[in-house]
Amino acid sequence: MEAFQNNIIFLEIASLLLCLIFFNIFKSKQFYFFIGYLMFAILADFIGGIIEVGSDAWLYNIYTFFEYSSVAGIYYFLANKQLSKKVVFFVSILFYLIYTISFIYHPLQRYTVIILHFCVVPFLFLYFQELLNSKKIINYKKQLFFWITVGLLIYYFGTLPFITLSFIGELQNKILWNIPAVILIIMHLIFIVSLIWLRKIRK
Amino acid sequence: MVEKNTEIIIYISTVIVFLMTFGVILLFSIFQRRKNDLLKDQEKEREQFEKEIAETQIEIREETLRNISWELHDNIGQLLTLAKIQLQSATKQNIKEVSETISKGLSEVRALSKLINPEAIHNINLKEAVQLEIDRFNRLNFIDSSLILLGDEKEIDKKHSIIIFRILQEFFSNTIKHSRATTLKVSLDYQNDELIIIVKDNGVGFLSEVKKEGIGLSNIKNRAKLICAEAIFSSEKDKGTTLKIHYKL
Repeated sequence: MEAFQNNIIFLEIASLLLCLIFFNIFKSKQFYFFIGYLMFAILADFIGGIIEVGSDAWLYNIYTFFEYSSVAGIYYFLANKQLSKKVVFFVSILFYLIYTISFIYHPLQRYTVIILHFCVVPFLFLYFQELLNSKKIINYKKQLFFWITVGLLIYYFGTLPFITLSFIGELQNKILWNIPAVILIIMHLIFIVSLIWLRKIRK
Repeated sequence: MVEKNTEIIIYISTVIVFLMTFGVILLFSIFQRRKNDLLKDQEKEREQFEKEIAETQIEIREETLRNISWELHDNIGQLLTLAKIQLQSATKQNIKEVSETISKGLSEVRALSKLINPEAIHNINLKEAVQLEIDRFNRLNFIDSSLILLGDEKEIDKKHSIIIFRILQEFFSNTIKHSRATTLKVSLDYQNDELIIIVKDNGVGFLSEVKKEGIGLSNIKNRAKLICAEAIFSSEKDKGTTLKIHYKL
């Protein structure tokens, strides 16, 4: 089971490699942030694999900052409406404020990951809302960021119950960690398939 | 035991949230597809409208050319022939008559040049365009016609003006060709949110519904629908025909 969780890093690397290979095809500001998102995830998982389990909380606390910033960056530049940009901006101020306070009031660090999930999910729905309200005929299936949003939604929305209950309840059963692992695999498979599939269409 | 319960809660709630996520994506796909279909329909309607506008402009142009041809041959041509004949037998006494004939010819040419202006077809001002037609009918003694303007004139979409003008032009044409009418009255009534156009002739009128469709009246009704207007015909045998158009401003 542990090996199953540890192998996610290879899928993350595959996603990143595909992004770098098809960089010129999908080049955009939001795509830079997506690459950043994958890079920070790989880096955190790689260092996390070296550091002894139990003493890696600081690493994931730092990672939370970069993870949030990457996703916020994606949806800030993806947003076409000023309202959506403002929502990303003000939610980000709120998140960074809580994040900064967590260094003063340490018990808060336990909740920053949960707060991250709650902050990110509205961005994903805002993107869907923008797509729906757009007056253009959009073939959403051929939009890379539609699939990226689907992947992120499955991950951030799907792991909400686990993250909330596990971080608050401190679960000891490691098998439960397969839940986010499986969801992460699904998310990266969506990334990989959409990158390969849409590369031909974009060309 | 508490740990076990939490695990069950996590499993169940994850499955529920996971299903909800798929539900959201599914709903999004359905709505997006419907929205796209709706936009495609709107695009098709817009293209159809543009096509209709283009066709209408061509029809107006053709009608104008027909009128010009007619005026050149039967009106200006006649005046110039008359002037030539008058000149052939010109004396000091009748030279004024020659001058008057040529002046009349010149004013006809000036009036005609207004009709030829291509800008007028693209940027129709409804009132001015109808007035030009009315003036033409009176000048050429086709029919005794008049235009009444009620209320304050309001701006009408140029494309819609083209359609309305063409509807009126078709009606005028029918009146002159088929109705044997002696008077034609047009009124443009600008109300707060509506423009009511009434065109009335005192011709032979018509009775049957079949005839209504036969003389291009269905075409007028369809054109009116394009601009969300309503065209209502009323006619009685030997009592003339009335067309009432309700156009939302």
